[in-house]
Amino acid sequence: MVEAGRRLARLYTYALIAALYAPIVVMAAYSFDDSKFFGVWGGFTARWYRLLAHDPQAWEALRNSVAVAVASALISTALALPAALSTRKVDRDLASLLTYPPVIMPEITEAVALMIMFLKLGFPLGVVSVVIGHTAFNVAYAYVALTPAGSSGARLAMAARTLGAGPLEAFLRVAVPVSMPGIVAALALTFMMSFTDFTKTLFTKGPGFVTLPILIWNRARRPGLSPYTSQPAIAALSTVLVAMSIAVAFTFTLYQARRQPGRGGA
Amino acid sequence: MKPRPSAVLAPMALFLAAFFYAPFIVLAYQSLQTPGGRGVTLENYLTVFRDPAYFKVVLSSLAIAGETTLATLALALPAAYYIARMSGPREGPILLALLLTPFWVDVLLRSFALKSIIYTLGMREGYAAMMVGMVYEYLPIMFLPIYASMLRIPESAVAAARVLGATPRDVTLRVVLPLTLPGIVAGSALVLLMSMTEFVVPALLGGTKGFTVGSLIYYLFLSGGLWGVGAALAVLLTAALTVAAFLLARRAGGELAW
Repeated sequence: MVEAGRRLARLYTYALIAALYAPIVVMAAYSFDDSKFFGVWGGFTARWYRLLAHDPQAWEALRNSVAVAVASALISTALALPAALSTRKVDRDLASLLTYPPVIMPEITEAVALMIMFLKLGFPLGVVSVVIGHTAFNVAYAYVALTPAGSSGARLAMAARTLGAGPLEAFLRVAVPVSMPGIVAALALTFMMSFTDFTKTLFTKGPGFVTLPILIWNRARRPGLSPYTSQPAIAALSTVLVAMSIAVAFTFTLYQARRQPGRGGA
Repeated sequence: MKPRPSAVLAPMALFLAAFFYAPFIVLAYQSLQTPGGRGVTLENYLTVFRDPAYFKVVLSSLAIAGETTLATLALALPAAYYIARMSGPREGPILLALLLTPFWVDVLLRSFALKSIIYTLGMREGYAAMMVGMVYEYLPIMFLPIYASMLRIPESAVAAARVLGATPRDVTLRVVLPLTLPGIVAGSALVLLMSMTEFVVPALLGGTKGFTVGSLIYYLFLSGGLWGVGAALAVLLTAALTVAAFLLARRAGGELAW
């Protein structure tokens, strides 16, 4: 009786997880569909990916997305690293208090607030305002990704200091190498978040600046005549971004879940 | 003397102060301005509640958020129960990671992916499609606090109930479920408030149906130019979420939701 209940719960959980991935799998399948519409299978083709490879707008959006994501990942990780290396309780309490709202606040309110501030200050909207906007939430995620490895790095660096290492030596030869898994996690996570971000970008980009998610939004809302805006073509572009997000996110959440039973990623 | 925070926090703290916290002060100021801009006024807030056109959106958005909350709660509870209290030591972390991973995929990409399956099922954009999208988007936010609550239930509480003659059914309904209540409250509050701000799901899946406070903010800022009312709506939602998050964090004994 107990065993039957357990089996049922397990079946349900597996089915729920399968349902979460079904849309992604189906979208990926349609990105190889020779018909122009979702719901109609016209045979296998790679032509949407070929179209994408010869799409000047997509290349421009890709360049912008990579530039923004690299800048935001480096800046947010650099800003969060010193804080994550502190072992003092007062520092950790204040840091988690400061980084909690950026994670929990809905993106649209944060994005609108930042947009108003930039416009009031006369700050031009474009690549710089987008990088700042992304970094404002990325720094919180970087801090969370950095803390576990960062604090062991800092403790070992203190041990190295008592054993006679200089401050710079302790930092470069102990703290940084020990924190490296955290640094890599922070860079990967913030790059991915920024590369696929839509809402923050939409409000802080100004006219004319296009990233890959913005391109998807523009095209998904005017489905129609051009081959670029047909559903499988957008699906091809989205599939590339989703595959990247899932690879980074699954590695990170599994690492978190295994390290600390009781805590998930998010 | 209270210990003072060290300077290592400064880079992160200053950046967040300038580009995360300061914008909310500007937003609050904007919400107190009218288009004419003569001093401080509460007019925008009064408009939200008095103007039937705006208030109707608030009510319909609340209905959508309420339905999303109930649906995600019903779906998340059994899965949280299984992963937190019944799964094996190797299985648990993998299931947890699989369940939380889609949360990291941007809502735009997930909504578009959902469109493919909705078309395959013969459905089109509309209220039903939008609700599927809302549930898909907010399920992990409901799941996480419930899961965390269930994980914290001490094994001894369950063992004590069993020794005192409780059946497995009693254990579930009268021990585990009541002790999960803080997680249920936290998840419901977060999903209710966050789903009111959603504008991507209604835009891509709602068709002409389904308009949330988030959609309204989007139009007021990016097409309408009515910043004052948009700012007032954003301030109201931000304030509600801040209060909820603060109360929940205090209930959880100072421990934040993650």
